[in-house]
Amino acid sequence: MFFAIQANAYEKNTGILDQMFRLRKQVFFDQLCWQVEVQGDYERDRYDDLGPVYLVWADIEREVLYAAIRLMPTTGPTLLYDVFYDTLPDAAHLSAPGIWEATRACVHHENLERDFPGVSPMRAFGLMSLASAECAFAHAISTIVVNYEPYLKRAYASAGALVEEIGRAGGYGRYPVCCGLFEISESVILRMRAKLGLEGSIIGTENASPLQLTA
Amino acid sequence: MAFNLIEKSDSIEGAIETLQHIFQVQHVTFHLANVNFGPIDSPFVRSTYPPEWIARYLLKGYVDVDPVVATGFSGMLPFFWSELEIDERSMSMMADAQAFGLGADGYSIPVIDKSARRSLLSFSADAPTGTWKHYIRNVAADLAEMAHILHKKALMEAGCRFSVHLGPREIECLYWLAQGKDAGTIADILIISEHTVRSYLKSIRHKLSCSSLPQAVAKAITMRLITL
Repeated sequence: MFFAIQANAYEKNTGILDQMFRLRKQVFFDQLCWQVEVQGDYERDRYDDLGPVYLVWADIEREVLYAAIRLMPTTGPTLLYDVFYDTLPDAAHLSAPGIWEATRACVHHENLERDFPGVSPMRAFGLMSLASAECAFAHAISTIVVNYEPYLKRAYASAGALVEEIGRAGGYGRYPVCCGLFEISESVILRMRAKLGLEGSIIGTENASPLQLTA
Repeated sequence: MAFNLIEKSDSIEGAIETLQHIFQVQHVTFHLANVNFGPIDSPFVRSTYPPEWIARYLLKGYVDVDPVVATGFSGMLPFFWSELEIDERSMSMMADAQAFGLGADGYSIPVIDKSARRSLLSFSADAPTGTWKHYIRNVAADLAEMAHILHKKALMEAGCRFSVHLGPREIECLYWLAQGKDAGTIADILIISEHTVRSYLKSIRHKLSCSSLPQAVAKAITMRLITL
């Protein structure tokens, strides 16, 4: 199931969050070679201390993590502002109550392959994008600033997401970093559900059966 | 209209009373988190709640058990009070509040700024939860903007000054706006989508604390952020 973990629920979800910080280390430090802060097996930075929203895909018992993403309002301190101020100024400067940023999107390939053999990492990324869109839409957010590696452009497109690239910068790791604006609206959500072959909402419910997710 | 009234009110008290009338909610509370600078080193709370309830709230130390305060100052997404998990300690507070005739449900918007200063704007309702939620969803984006305007206003009352930094695209959008172009036309000129233009415009309004785009243009010219 897909659900959002807010600061007041961190304690109840320590197991899943522990897996998320480990996964982030594997993905961003070990594989993508980003210059991220590593604490032991964790990748954790100062934004994690500000009470961000973690959107996760886990099993119903909340024991196995499949994917995670971090959401923060652009009115507050943001990673994009601090890290990409010079290289991606257009994206870094955006700041308004209805504009949020999504960072550290990652998929747990082994768990996914074991429990959802029919779901490719690209599709998992698309499902997470839909979950982010639903969560944002329910909270009056109209834009998510996303950063991604160039090849993920295809994942957004095949999930029906409207993401416009507004900047691209090199020197952060193996691939250039792209910044895009992800449009959030009811019509985008309906379009994404149709493209992904899902009926009804993916977030917060247990409706999204494994079968549907594989579709 | 609401924005102008809020901006023009000379105090936070005046502003929250205006909000109470315009949005027809039972009560409005604005709470700036402890900030240790300037003249403010104690909690900054302004509320339309009756003074008797505020006195009781403080006397009983309800601020330490209030789930709205705990959730609002740690989390980031706006939330309905009916979605909160209530533990035993907060139970008695909720019962007490109801005995005072205060609404059971409400909606709170956490605010965080670039310096990680936080505040919380809360609205309480006596309407049944279903109708209330439906009503709030329709105005949620406006309420979020109000929360940020109040936050800035409260900090300015405390002597804070803000500087404005615009990105290159934001300046371009402002320039074309000042030339009388609308979002669709600006999108065509810059060869970007209209949604992207609208995002830049939203950001510009937020940074300049303006309720409308013409007001933002006027302010930007005065501040010499753009020249015609």
